[in-house]
Amino acid sequence: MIDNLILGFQTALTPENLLWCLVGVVVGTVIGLLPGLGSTTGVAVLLPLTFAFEPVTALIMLAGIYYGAQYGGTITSVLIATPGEAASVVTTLDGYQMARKGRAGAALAIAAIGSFVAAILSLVLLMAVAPPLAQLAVQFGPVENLAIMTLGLVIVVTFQGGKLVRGAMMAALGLLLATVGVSTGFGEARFTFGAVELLGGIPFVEVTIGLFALGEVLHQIRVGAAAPIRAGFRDMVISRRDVSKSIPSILRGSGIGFMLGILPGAGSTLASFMAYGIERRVSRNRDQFGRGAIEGVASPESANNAAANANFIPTLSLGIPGGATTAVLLGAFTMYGLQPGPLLFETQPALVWGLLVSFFIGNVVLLLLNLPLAPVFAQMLRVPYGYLYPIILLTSIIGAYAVSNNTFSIWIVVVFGIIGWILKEIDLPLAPLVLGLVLGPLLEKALVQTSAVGDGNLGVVFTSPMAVVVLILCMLLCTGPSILRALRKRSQDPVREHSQVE
Amino acid sequence: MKSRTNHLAIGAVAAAAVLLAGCSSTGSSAEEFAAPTRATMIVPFAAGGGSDVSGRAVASGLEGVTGLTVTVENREGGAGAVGYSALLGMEGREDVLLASELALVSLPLAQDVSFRSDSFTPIMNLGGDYALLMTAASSEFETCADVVTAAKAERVVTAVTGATGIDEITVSLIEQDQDVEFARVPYESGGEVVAALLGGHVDVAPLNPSEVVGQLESGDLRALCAFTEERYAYEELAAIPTAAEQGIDVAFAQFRGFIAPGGISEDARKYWIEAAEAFADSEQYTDYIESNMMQPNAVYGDEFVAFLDETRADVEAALG
Amino acid sequence: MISVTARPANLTVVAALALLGAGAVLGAIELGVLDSSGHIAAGFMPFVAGGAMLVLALIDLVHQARHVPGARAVDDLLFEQLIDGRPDTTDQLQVVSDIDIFGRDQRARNRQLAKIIVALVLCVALIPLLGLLASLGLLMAFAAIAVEHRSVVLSLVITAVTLAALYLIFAVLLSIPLPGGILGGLLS
Repeated sequence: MIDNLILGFQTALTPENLLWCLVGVVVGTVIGLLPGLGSTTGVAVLLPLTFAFEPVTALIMLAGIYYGAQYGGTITSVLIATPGEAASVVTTLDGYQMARKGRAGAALAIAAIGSFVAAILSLVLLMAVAPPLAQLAVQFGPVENLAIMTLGLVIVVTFQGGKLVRGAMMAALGLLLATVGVSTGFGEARFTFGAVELLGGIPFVEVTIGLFALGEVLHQIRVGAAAPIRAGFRDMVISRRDVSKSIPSILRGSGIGFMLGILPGAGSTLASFMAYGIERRVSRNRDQFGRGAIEGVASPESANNAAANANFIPTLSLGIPGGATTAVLLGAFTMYGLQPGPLLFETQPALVWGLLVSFFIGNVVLLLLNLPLAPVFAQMLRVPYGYLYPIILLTSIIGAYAVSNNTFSIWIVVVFGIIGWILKEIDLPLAPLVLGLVLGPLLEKALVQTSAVGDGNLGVVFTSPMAVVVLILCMLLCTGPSILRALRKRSQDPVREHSQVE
Repeated sequence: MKSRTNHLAIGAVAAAAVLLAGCSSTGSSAEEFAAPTRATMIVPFAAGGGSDVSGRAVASGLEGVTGLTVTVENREGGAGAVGYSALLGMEGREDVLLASELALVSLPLAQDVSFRSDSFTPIMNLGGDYALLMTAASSEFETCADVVTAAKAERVVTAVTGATGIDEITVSLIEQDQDVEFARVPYESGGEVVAALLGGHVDVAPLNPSEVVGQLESGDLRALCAFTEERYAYEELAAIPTAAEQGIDVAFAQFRGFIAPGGISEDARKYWIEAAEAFADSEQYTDYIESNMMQPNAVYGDEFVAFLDETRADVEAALG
Repeated sequence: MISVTARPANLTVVAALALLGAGAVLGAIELGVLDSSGHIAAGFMPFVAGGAMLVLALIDLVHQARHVPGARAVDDLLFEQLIDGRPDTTDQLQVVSDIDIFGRDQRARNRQLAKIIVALVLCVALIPLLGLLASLGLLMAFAAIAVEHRSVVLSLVITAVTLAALYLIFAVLLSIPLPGGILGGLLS
């Protein structure tokens, strides 16, 4: 282990590798910041530029883009409610509210700190126990996945608190939209009405840009410009109290993110949503959620970074991609003549450990970069909205186009922008809709696979102990709050109870 | 007054816009063929998959031999239907290529799509990618014959990726040849299938060698047989018997190549075929074939068309 | 502030969702919910999701119907008017202070919103003709100058700078081919 670490540092600390690690994280931050362009597109687009490099240098840079994008995705979510990455969607809920209260700097700083802590914790685990964890991860089959997806859905629906029905309705809409197109296991196209572009489904990234970026712009135009946010310097920088308040959330978020990140396919978006949902139930400050709670930023941001790193566990120790971006990175392995697989740790120790150590360095760089920059980025809010929103419109549209080099994407953004605005006006929550859209294909795949495994009988779920545990958790989440409330009602004073319902 | 200046300003922007549009144009088909300076390689599947790897290899190979800039564009969705349909809409474009594979032939047979395999201009077939029947190291199966025998008596579960892929066709061919039936669990990618095999969620699965070579080396997965005409020449795979050796008369390859839109000029077709021939002589081509453990089979133009017709007949027979 | 009691719009949207759910259920039955051997078929998810949406939307409609409306807020009526283009009735209503920091009232802002939405659609429709960057430039200039009444010179400068930055990032750095449109084709 020590030998490996030394080998890793020797590899990662060469001037060339250090330089490209730096370039990678900076480019990654920019790519994460732009709506539409996620880490997957970023890595795929910049891949050809790295052919001239040594494989390890190339991978260090590409991986830097990947986790750098996780940091960058936060910035626009907080400042202008425009998630740069799918995994940052849920950050808009409290991050944007914080920004409107003049606390953008603090939100960005806690996101950077949470991301950093999560990254370091997950890296340590990755280095120490990647192979056994990977073995554990493959034990999660269709049946267990079905249980996890159900749990994710239950958490996100119930985190709407009092507006359970409307939240569930939006989640159902998301699931329904996710069925458009051709999906795993079926040949026929569904609800495409003859449009070739819809065969691939309603593209999630474009929908997110539309609902959040464009929807928020339209909403702001109608509500009217508020007085510009004039925050004093003290509000812009993060206080010690903020940090200590957020530590439990960061740790919980890291744990959830790490666990979901190991499972191939679940990914960082689900992780961030689940972390937020759980935080909203267990946090001491849960009443403030949705109104600018710092925990509501710390937890999902930690989760998505932990998941991004944990994604490397199946990728490096089994050669099975943990998510879309790691799939591209695995493709890159082959292009450099490397053979990903269980033997990679043994056959390419310098490469694997150099890469892992570079994650440490990259994350330190990102923290050092993001902490002082947080208040600077927050100054962007001083740009008059009359100039800011046209810039948001342009960036969103061109970003959507860049996802698939297709004008159709832009139409999706415009249509969902108008939908997002209408939903905002009548106070229907957008987050469950987005998660429904993300989870839909995964849930359906798990359902179809479970049905195939059980030869048509979904009851096969109950043969897996792990799945049963997860399903019991679902039940508790559904019924738990009302039981708790009933218990509390008996013991607590009625005034408190009243204020919570409000 | 104010509104007039506004109109003037918008007019000025429009003028600037005209200039900008000029700068950012990608150029469209001209009457007389002039070799393009930049081209686009459409990959009809997501980044990171086999098609993507091959599209990127061809793109960078063509860049090397022609001096073109070739940009790769992933247009995934609908098991390839989105990408091919996009190419259909680019008829006559001489600066667009598509990294093609089995879906070109199998999609029109299995699904309601608006293109056919002869809607395009085939340029080059790179080679064939055969499948191995894989199982977990702990499995009791030793040969493909064991699997067939078991399938006659009980439920044997295999993984497939999509209704039109090489795994579905291979499984169908075994079923027809041996008169058995397999239960299928659908997955999305080779990576997922490998995980399912490792976790014991499926019994067997047909996979391309490049998808499993790491697991083969480590011994976590075993190959029962190869659906090839002859044994592989690659060292790592030479010990794997062919299906025919085990009494199963199934050999089927997924081709990988690239095509241009339909309706391009004869000059353009010649240009791309010449570029393809130069690419086939390059080291990059050999690297690509070898690192993906494929069988080289470089054919161009009309020969490729004839090859596609044969493949179509085979697939038609398999998917029945 | 917009409240949940934006009733007419709320009723319309939720009713539309109920209809969408019902449509999905019908479509799902046509696709087949379960196949002949009892396995989940293509219609299963649309059936479950559409059905859930239908039921939940109906529950929400009942909820809404139970809460008898108080005085209608100006907002609600305006929104209603915006959605189905009914004649303006604002003057008859009691005037609520809705003037923003630029001294615009709700009607002015609604007009702005309508302008932006129309401009957006036009902009996208113009892409095949003018190309991406040119259409976007027009959109931005229009938004800043004609909708927001900002300084013309500054607006043009910001538009140019934004376009240049986007061009650098997307076309140069990431080498994403941006469509030039028919105009671009003619010019090259």
